[in-house]
Amino acid sequence: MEEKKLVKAAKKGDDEALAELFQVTYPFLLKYLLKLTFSLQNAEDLAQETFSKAIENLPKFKGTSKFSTWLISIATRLYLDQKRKQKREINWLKQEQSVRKLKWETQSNNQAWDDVMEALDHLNDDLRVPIILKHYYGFSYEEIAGIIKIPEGTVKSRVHKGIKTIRKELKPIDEGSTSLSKPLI
Amino acid sequence: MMKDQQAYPNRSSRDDQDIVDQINKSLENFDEAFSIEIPQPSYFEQKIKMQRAETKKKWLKELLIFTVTAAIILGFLFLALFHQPEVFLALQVLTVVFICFYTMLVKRKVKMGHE
Repeated sequence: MEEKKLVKAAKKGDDEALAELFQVTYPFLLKYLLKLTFSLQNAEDLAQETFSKAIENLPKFKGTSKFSTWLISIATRLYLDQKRKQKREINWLKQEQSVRKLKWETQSNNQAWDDVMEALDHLNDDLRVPIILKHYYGFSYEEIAGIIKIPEGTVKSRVHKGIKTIRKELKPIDEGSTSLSKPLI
Repeated sequence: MMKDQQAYPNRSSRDDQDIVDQINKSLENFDEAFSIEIPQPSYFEQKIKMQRAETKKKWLKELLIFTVTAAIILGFLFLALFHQPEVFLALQVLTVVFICFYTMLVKRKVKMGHE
C-alpha cells in the first residue's frame, strides 16, 4: 500500500497499517541512529523509543513530510535529550567499547572504518548531527533547524565548523600516508 | 538516499566539497557494512498494542491528577473569596507575579541553550 494511504489508515487506528509503516522504515531509522550513537544497542533502544513517541504523537503528524523524515526528527530529539541527561564520564568507557565493536563489525563485513569515520566519531554531537542531516540525508538548513530546535543561522555555522574540524583532522593524514583503514587495537 | 552534492558551489569552498564527498562515501560504506534484521509485522503490532494501552493508562492518570488538583485549588480559592477576600486578592497578585517571573526564567534558559 502507498505510504500516504498507510498513514491515513494508521491515523484512523489501523494497527496493521502502522506496523507496516514501522517495518518499512525500521532499517532506515536504525542505520540513521547508528550513525549518531555508534552503538547498536543504543540505536535499537532509541528506535523503540522513537516508535513509542510516534504512536503517541501520530494524530499530530500532518503528512506534509515523509513518514521516515518525521521519525528521524523524533529520533534526533530523543538522541540529543539522552545525551544531555547522560553523565559523560560514566558513559565514556561504554561508548569506547561500542565504537570498537562497530569498527570490528564494519571491518569484518569487508568495509573500511576509515579516518573520516574516526573523525566523525570524535566530533561533538552539536556538529555531527547537523552535518549528517545536511550532507548525507539532504535536509535543508531550515528543516534541520526545525528538527534540532535551534535557529537556522546556528545550523549553518555548526555545519561549517564541523566540516572545518573534520578537514583539520584529516589534513595530516592526507599530507602523510594515504591509509584508509585503521587496524583494530 | 538523498545526498547533497552541490552544497558548496563556489570555487573557494572546493575543499569543503571534497570533505563532504568523503563523508558521504564513508557513511555509505558504513551503511553497507550492516545488514539489519527486520522484525515481523506481528512484532510491531504487539508493540503498538502495548504502547496504546500504556498511553491510555498514562492519560487517565494525568486526567485524574489534573481533576483532583483543580478541585483542591478551586475549593481553596472559593473558601478564600467568601471568607477572606484580602487573601484571595493577594493570591491573584502573587500568581501573576509568579507567571511573569517563570516565563522570563524559561526564556532566558532557552536563549542560553542556543548560545
